Amino acid sequence: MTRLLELLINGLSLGAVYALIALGFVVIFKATEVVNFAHASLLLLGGYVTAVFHDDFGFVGALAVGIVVAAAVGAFVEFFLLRRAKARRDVIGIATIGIDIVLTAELSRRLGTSVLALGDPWGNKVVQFGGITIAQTRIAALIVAAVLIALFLAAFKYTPWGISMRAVAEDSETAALMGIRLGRISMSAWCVAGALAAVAAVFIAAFPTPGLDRTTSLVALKAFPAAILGGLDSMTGALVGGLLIGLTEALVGGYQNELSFLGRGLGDVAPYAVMIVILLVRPSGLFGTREASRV
Amino acid sequence: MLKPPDVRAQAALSVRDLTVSYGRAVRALHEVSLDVPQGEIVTVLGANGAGKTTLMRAISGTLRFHGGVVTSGKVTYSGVSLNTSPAHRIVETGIVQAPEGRRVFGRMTVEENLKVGGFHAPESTRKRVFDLFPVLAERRKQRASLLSGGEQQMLAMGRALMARPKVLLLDEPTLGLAPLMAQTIAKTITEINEQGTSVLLVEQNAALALRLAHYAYVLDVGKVALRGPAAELAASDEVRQRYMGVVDEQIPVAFGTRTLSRWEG
Repeated sequence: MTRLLELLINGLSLGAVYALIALGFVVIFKATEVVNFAHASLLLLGGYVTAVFHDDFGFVGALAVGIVVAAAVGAFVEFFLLRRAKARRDVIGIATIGIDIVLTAELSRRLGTSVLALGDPWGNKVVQFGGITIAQTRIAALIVAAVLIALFLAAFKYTPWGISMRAVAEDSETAALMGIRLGRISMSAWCVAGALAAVAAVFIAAFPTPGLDRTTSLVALKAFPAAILGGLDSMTGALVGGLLIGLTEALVGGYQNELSFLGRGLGDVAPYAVMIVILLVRPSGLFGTREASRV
Repeated sequence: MLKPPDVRAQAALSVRDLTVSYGRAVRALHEVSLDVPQGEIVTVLGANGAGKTTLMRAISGTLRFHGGVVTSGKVTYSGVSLNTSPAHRIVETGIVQAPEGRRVFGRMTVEENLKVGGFHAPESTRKRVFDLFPVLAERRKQRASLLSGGEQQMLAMGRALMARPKVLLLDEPTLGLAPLMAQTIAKTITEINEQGTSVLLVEQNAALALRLAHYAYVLDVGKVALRGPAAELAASDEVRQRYMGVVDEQIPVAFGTRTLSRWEG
């Protein structure tokens, strides 16, 4: 029973981090109709910058720099790719794969085989209560992600920025007719996505993971099924999808000895298996709006 | 037909020799000129495909959403060219469009829809909109998709008014509405105009539009076919027959009186 509880809490924490990443996907897709395949490399970049600067600026300072850099690179992509290219949105989506390759290659070159610590204050300390042992980083991840998600959703619901964003997502031409600056909305979406990814990087690289290395972006890629199974254009979908993937991964990983007949490393495959099963039943994701017009 | 001088007195919004094409082949407007003087209601009539909506898009800077370009001519407001301005700049200038088919944000509330129109609109503007459309005040917490067609049209107009336009562009505001609702909308348009907003009204319902407007243009296949004071156009036989569907029994139609008879071969 304690084992199950531990796994559930770890799964929720992991899921909350995935939800942060998935939220980034969804924001970009809603605002610009582009599927951003470069998201994992933005995350790696944010984590890398945090790792490099944590000796000089302390953890919080370094994280702030990481957030700013990831947001700025997001804005850069928006400004030089989305605004300039007169291509269709799905073509731009493919172009982001190119950006992902370039960015990941450069960061991998810099990282080499090293594993960088991010200097987070929680280290490998654990909390024990009622026989349950949970790493502090997991609790921190859960709290930070929950606070950020709540802030984000509130901004989305109540601020002029959020209302404009929703208007653009629903009907960009009419939003433009009402005086909303589409370029600004699109750029801010990329900035927010980059910033959220940088925060997520910290918790992906933190204990019990040894640190940030070049495979970190692969871990981030698991947020992609989270966004898709929730429905790419739904915030709720991103949250539910993130939690679902996190829980699946934690539970399947935790019980993999019992599941050994399915082979090893099942925890890595499970998110995609869940995604496929859900898409078979609901092709536009759990909360996605059906797109009848798009072929 | 009386043809007044080309430039009408103190035109606020002016369109000169505007030619618009979609892609290389489709020319939607050909050297169209029109003026919307300060404080007037000007209407543009025409059949489907005459270029009415294209004209609206050209003025409000949304041609690019449809692959259209202005190939010659210009749109100016108080002498300032708007040809290359993005849509938000044109809104800042004071020209705001309530688009054809209402296009309210259905997943957002009435209140939020109005906010999109003018985030920093002063309380007086909000009050003016709610005075014009009391139903919007009653339903402000409701999703816009739950409103009736007429209410959605009111929301679309209210939303545009939140930006405090100097010129309000209305594209087919009575399209698909019940006659009584169309009359209500028409009355409101007059009211908005009396409060000092110039209106450019595009309509298929020629009878209604000519009753409201001071001046009218008739577009036909991308060209201005007729223009003149609304009252004169309303009285002309050509407009009555072609756009208002009035068939005068006394005056025979130009083609003569052909009657249908059973074919007996």
